[in-house]
Amino acid sequence: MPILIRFRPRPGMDIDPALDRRFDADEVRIGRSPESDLVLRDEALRFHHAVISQSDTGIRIRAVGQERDEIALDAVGDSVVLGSHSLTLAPPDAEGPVLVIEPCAGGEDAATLSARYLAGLELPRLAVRRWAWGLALAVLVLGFLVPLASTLLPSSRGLIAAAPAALRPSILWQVGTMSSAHAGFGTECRSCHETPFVPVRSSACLACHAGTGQHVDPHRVPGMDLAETRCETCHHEHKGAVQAIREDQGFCVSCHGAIRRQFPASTLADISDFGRDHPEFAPTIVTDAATGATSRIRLGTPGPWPDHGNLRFTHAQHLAASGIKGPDGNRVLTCPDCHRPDASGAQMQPVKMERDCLACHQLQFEPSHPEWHLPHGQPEEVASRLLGFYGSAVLAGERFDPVRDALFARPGEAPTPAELPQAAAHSAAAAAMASSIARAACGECHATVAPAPGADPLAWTVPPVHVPASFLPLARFDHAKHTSVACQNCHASETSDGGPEALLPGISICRQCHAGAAGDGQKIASPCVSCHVYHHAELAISAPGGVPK
Amino acid sequence: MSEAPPIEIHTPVLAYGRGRWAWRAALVALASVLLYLFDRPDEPPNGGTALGYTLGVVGLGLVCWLAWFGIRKRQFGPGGRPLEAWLSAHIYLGLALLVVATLHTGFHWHGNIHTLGFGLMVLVIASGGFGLLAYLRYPALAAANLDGADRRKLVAGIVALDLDCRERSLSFDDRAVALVRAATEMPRLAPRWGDFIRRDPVLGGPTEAAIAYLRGTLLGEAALPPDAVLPLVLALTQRATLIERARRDFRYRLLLTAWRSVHLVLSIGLLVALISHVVIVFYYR
Repeated sequence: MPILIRFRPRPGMDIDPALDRRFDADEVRIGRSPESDLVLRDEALRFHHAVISQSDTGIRIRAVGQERDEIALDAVGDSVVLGSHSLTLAPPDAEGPVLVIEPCAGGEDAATLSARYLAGLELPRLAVRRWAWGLALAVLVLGFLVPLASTLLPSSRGLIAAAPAALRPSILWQVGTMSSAHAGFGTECRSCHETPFVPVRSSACLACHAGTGQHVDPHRVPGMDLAETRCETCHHEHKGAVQAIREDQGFCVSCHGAIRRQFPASTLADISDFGRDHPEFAPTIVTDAATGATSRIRLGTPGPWPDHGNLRFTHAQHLAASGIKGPDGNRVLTCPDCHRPDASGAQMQPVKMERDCLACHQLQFEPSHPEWHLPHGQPEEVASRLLGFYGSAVLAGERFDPVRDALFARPGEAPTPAELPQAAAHSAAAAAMASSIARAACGECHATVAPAPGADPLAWTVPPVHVPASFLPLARFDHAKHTSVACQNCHASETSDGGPEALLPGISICRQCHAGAAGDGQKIASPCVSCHVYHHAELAISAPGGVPK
Repeated sequence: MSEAPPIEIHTPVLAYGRGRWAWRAALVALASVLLYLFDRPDEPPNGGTALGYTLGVVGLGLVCWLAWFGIRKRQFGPGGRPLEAWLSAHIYLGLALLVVATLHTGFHWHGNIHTLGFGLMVLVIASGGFGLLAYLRYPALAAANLDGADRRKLVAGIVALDLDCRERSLSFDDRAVALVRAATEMPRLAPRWGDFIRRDPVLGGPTEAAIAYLRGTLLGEAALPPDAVLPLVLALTQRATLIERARRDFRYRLLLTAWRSVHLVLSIGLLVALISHVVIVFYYR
C-alpha cells in the first residue's frame, strides 16, 4: 500500500494538497540528501536520516545506520519530531496510510537574532555612581576614620589593635620616615603630637632632651632665648632616617657670617667656613694664678704667655731623647706613659700624680731615711706626717743636725740647740718642711708659699693647680678619631719647655686634613658642627618664659 | 581602511585661543621646575618646606578647579567662557598638575594615605590623557570603520549571512552542517576582554574550521563543484568581516566612554584622599 505524505508549509497553516506526495515503495528514505525520497532541508536532520516503512498497524520510522532505533506510529494522532519537523499519523485514506509533515514552531528567526545581536552590542552600563561612592568610602574609612578612631578612642585600643598594622596612623598617616633616633617610639604619634592641630611643643622634646642648653646666655643676648622657640623650628622630623640634627653650616653662617649685623655688641669674629676664614684658635688659659681666672689668647701671640697653672713642668725635659733618670735607671718616656684616654677615648684623663708621676717622684726628703715618703696631699697632712717621722726618730734617740734651724733663726740670734725631744722633732720637721716643700719634694713641681714670719713654720701652703680639662672648651675634639696620627704630629711636646702656646696645635695643623664644609679635593669636608655644638649644656633651657639665673 | 585625519571639531579644544592654555600651563610647570631646582631648603625637598607648601597649595587649587569642570560642563546655558575654553584649560592644567604635585612630594613616596592620594591623582591624569588621545584618534577610526553604515545595518547583514550560511550548508554532509552551525552560533556578538588584546578574533576558531573543511574536504577530497561550495565560503568570510567591524565599532565606542567613568570614579577617590591628606597634615603638625 502506498504511503501518502501531506505537508503543512508553516506551523498552523492548513495542509497544502498541492504538495501531497504518494510513495509506492515499501520504504521511504528521509534526509537532507538530494538522493532521499523525501528531502527535508533541515539542519537538525542528517544527510541520510531515517527510513519510513509500513507496519501492520501503522508506520515505523527507523534511523539510518541504527537498526534498533525505531519508532512506531500506531494510532491516529501519534506523532514524532524529526529535527524541526513533526510527523503525525493521520487517518488512512482508501489507498493506504497518511502521514502529515509540518514544521515545528520555534527556532530563531531573523528578528530575534537581530534583537539579540543588537542587545549584545549595547555598551555595558558602568555603575559610575556606585563605584565612586565605594572608592570614596573605602578611602575615607580605611585611610582616615579608622586611624582617627585609634587616636581618639584609647578605650578602643583593643579593637583598633585588631586592625592591620598598616591602618595605624603611625604608618598610614606618617608623612615621611622618622629619624632613626626617634623611630623606637615613633609608632605612638602622641608622644610628640600631644594635641591635635597644635604644632609639636618643645616641652614634648625636653621631656627626654632635658639637658639641652641655650646657644648663648639669653640674659646677655636678648632675643636668643631658645625657651621662646619651638625645637621644631630647626629640628625637622619625618625627613628621613638621618638624625634630625642640622648639619648645614648655612644655618650657622646666617648669623656668624656677619654677626654684628644682628648683634652689634658681639665681639666674635665673622666666619663663614672653616677652610676659608676661621680665625686661629684661642685657647682658654689661666691668667691669674691666685683666682684661677681665665682668658683666651690667640695662638701665634708671642710667648711666654701668662700661664699661671701653679705647676712647674716641661715636656722637653721629660721626653728627652736621651731618656730621663728613673727608679730603674735611664728611661725614654712617651706620651702614653702619662696621658691616658678616658673611657670614650675622646679626651685624656687628667694626669694623676700617684699614678703617673710617683714612680719617679717618690717624695723622699730625709737623706738618712730614704724609706720615708711624703704623702701627696694637703700641706697640713705633710706637716703632721713629718712630725710623726721625726718625733719617733728623736724618741728612738736619733739626733738631727740643729744647724738646719739656722734657716729659721732670727737675725742676731744664735740657733738654739734642741734639748727637749719635742722641740727637736718639731725643729727637724720644720727644717724638712722648708727644704722639701720649697725645693725638693713639693716645690719641684708645685708653686709653694712660705708661712708668714712668726707664724707656725710648718704652715706652708700650696696653691691649687689649674690645668683645664680642655684648652678649647667651645670645640669638640675626639682623640679617638685621630689615633692614626702620632701625638707629635699635632703636639710639639718633645721640644716644648713652655705652656700651651707651644703645645697646642694651630689651625694650620687641622687644615692639613680638614677643609671647610664643601671639602677640598682630598680633604675631609668639615662643617661647623664637626667641632662646635649649638646647644651649650651649661646654659640649660628652662620652662618657656626665660632661663632662671 | 586608511587613517583618517582627526575630525575637525576636536582641533579647537587643544589649540583654543591659539594655545593660550598650553602656554599658561607650560609656564606653571616650568616655573615649578625652576623653583624646585634652585630651591635650597635646609632639609631634603619635601611637601613641608616653604616651596613644598607653595606647590601643595597650587596643586590643591588646581585639583579643585579641575574637578569643578565636572560640574561646569553640565551647566548649559549662555554666559561665561565657552566650554571649549574650559576643556582646553582642563587638559593643559591637568598635565601641569602632574608636574606641580610631583615636585610637591619631593619624590618621597611611601605606603600611606598621602602617597595614595598622589597615586590616584596620577591615575586620574593618566585616564584623562587616555581620553584625550581617544578623542583625537577613535572618532575618525570609528567613522571609517562604519563606512557610512550604522550598527543596525551591520547587524542586519550579519543576521542575513547567518541564515544564509546555515541554509547553504544543508546541501552538504552532516559535518559541514555542524561546522557551519558552530561558526554561526554566536551567543555574544560584543568582543570579550581578550578580544581587546587579540586583534583578529573572528576569523579564528569555528569559522576557520568550517572554511577549512569546506575547502579541504568538500572542495578538495570530495571534489564537489566549486559553484556549490564557494558561495558558502564567501558568505562565511563576509560574515566574519562584518562581525569584525561591529566589534571594532563596539570597542571604539567603549574606549570613548569608559575612560570617563574611570576618570570620574578615581577623581572622587582622589578628592577624598586629598582632603584627608590636608586634614592629617594639620592634625599632626
